[in-house]
Amino acid sequence: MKEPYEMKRCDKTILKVEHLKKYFNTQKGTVRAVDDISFNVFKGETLAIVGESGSGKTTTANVILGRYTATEGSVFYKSIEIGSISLTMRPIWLRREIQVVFQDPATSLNPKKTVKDIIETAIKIHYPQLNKYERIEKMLELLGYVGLTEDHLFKLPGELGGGERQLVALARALATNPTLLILDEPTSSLDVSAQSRILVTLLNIQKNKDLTYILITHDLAVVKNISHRINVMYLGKIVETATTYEIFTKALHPYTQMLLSSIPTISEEESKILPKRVEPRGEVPSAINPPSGCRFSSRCPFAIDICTKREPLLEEVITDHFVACHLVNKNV
Amino acid sequence: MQVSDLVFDANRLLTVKNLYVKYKSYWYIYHVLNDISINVGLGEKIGIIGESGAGKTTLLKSILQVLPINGKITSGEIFYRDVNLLKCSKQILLEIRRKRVGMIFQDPLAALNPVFTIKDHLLEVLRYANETANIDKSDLINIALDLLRDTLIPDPERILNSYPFQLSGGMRQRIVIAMALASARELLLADEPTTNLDVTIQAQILKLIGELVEKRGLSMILISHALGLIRKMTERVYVMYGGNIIEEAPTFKLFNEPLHPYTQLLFKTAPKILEPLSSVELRGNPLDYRNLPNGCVFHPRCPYGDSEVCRKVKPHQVKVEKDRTVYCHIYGS
Amino acid sequence: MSHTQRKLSFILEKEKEMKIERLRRAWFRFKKSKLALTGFLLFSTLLVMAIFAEFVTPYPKHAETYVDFKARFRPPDLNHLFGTDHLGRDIFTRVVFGFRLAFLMIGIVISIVLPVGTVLGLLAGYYKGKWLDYSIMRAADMFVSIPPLVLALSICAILEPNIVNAMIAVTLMWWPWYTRMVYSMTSALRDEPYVWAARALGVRDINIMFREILPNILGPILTKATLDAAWVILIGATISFLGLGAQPPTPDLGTMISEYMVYFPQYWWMIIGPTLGIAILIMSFNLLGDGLRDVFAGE
Repeated sequence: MKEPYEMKRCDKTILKVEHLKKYFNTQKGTVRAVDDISFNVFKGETLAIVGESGSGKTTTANVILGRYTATEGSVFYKSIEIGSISLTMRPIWLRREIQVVFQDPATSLNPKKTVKDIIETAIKIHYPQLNKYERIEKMLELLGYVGLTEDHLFKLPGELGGGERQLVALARALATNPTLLILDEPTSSLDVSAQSRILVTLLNIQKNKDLTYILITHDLAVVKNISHRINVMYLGKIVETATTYEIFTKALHPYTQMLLSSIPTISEEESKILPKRVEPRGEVPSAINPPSGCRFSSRCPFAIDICTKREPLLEEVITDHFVACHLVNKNV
Repeated sequence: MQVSDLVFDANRLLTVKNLYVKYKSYWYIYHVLNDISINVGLGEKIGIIGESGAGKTTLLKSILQVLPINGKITSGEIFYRDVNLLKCSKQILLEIRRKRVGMIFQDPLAALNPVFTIKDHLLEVLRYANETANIDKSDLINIALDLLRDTLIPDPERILNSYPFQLSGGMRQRIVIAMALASARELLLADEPTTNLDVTIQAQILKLIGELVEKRGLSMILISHALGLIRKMTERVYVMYGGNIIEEAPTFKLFNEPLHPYTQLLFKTAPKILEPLSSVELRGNPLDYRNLPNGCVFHPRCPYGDSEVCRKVKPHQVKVEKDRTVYCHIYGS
Repeated sequence: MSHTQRKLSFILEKEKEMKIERLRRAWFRFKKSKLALTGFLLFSTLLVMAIFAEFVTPYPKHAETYVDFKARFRPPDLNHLFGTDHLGRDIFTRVVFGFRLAFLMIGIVISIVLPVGTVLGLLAGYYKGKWLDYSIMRAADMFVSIPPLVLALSICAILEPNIVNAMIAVTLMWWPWYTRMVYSMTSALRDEPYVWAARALGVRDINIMFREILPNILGPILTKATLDAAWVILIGATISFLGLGAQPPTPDLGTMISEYMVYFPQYWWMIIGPTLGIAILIMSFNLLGDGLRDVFAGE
């Protein structure tokens, strides 16, 4: 296994999230979907945000995208604060640079529009100077990037397979020539063979265009294959941040270990490399009143006294490997 | 009438022979299952692998005869022990559904009726399952509580009186498992039981199903498109493509060396932890169930499918080993 | 032309073909349903009859003011399909002219209500929770809360009772139902991922409403318009029947019924014609609406 992150490390930061909080007020109380997280995204890397449902990973992505505005804290994109600007208020150049691919292509593509209309909408906005021939040329180029052909141009999303639909969604996102692409569970609604096609395409495009990805997923096998760095989130907090290699070989936080142990492996060799220490148990508690102290304490098999009393901080344990756990952090 | 418990071959608890199922829509006829034959022995754990739309769920539904109104079994036989389910009386079919076979559905929210409590759900199943035994309600509630304890639900008394929407996805799936177990005395059919759940919950549910099946000595058919799950849970696997069985093998042999080109592709493209990604772009178009290709169903997409025989002749069963079968011309000659 | 240009124009050409192909398929789906086809044929026959009423009716002069006392109160026969009325006019002729008036009314009402109701509904639904939503929807609620007939009657009573005011009345009581339907569908669709994707691309709100959301709700809108057309006929006839719509001698179906009611039951055939006319008209619209629903559902 390689360590791609090493090469990328010195590159510049394009997105900086600082003490981001996003609370939702509901009838039952305040849901603390994201509760004080900070991380950086470097240019050209793939940062995966991993966690179960309710961990706040999707909310984080939505704040970056602008679907929600931050309750507190800030998101800097190229040193401009964007966390407090909602999507409709964002200038066009910003919308062009941050694009998104949603989970389910069946709902992220307008069922009444052909592939051509879908991609053309994007091109018309960002390249208003092109005439209709040039637009088609551009469309063919985009379809080429994602491995589709002109035969797909006049089909409705309903006439395409799941994988192809997701590729169309990707082509649409690429139409604006973005810098940062948010991938919200891009493969979880797809079949196995379609999954790998999307992932390989994503890798190739990143290589060619120097794109930065933020990958939101719960599937660790997918993460392993395409991401450079991983943020593990649990109940609105980042519990561990490290390179993919580190996470898969030396995961330190019990929650990360639990996630890794629950991957159903497809061969004996795979089972061997994963830590088999932590038997999955329990469910994610409600984010309205999370457990006191360490939020994972209610499910953690190793929890000790201090875990329920004091909240652990995200600290660098080894170089570039941050963990928020009392058992790991030395100053306990 | 009763289903005989004695007269049958232990290797053949459930046998499906040459089953054909068609769906009719307003305009078209979809050939969803084509010549399916499977066999489940007593206490055996079977897996069925295939992508979505391969006909896996239809197969389970036709075994229980709960196909949607536009679905029809056009030919074939389904034997449960010595009873032909397609020809037996309604009474026997009900007995089998109520007392012998249980099914876990894919979406636990859809399988539970939101206006009834968990107690209502469980008691209904239990009442049918213990029809002849003449058990009164308090005993049934005790059985229900036992089932909930078996499925490791914390605080079963409280859960019994709650409504489905008050429970988390994992809890709901446990309830659905408890309901399936109430009627599954011999065979458990599990249709993607963990697809909509988080990984850590998935692992717990799978472990639970595995343990319960083992403890109660049930046979099981597990459907999934997640290969890792099948590997963990089953002894023997059928691979389905386009409404056909294309390969059958003991699980460990299949995972060591898949034979059919489709199975190979499936394994090759599955995201793995150890190896880097590999994508094989299938040629051709997705399968159209309205007019399936002649010959082998997979030939238009198969990397070796250009030969005359693949295009024209439907592959026969090829016994590669004593316990391995593959439906492919490559192994025929 | 260079090679690439030829290829590009070939693609544009293909797009046109695909559009025609889609229309062809929609027609095919429509045709498949016997009832829808019956509705369509009935509808188009009635429409053609209404348009060319002067040529298809035996006594076009009988439509309005005409008196022939010798021929009054004739029961139905081959010359007078529905008989003649108290002034000796051919009822069949008058009914066909009545169709013309009914179609005119439907046409005008729909062409006002459909765009206005849809646009208001889109705006309110898309800006749900904003002041635009509140002002539009509360206005709609106000109109809905008044019983429809009372509203229509008061409008016709305040203004002069004639056909134009009847149309105004129907339009006023009808638009909120449209707006409400479009509103509920729009507010459900405005958080769909494809709408968010469009926002992320920088599509303007107005384009999101009309290019992303509208095509997805057009099917139900058109279906409802067709089914409601029957209702417009009925309410128009009611208003006329009560003497607040078209005034005699205008050949309006509702007016005719109220005019001929007086002679019931002695000259019973007189009201059969206009009643049958209304029934057939309503049936054709209902069948057509059902057919349209099938077409849109089939996609």
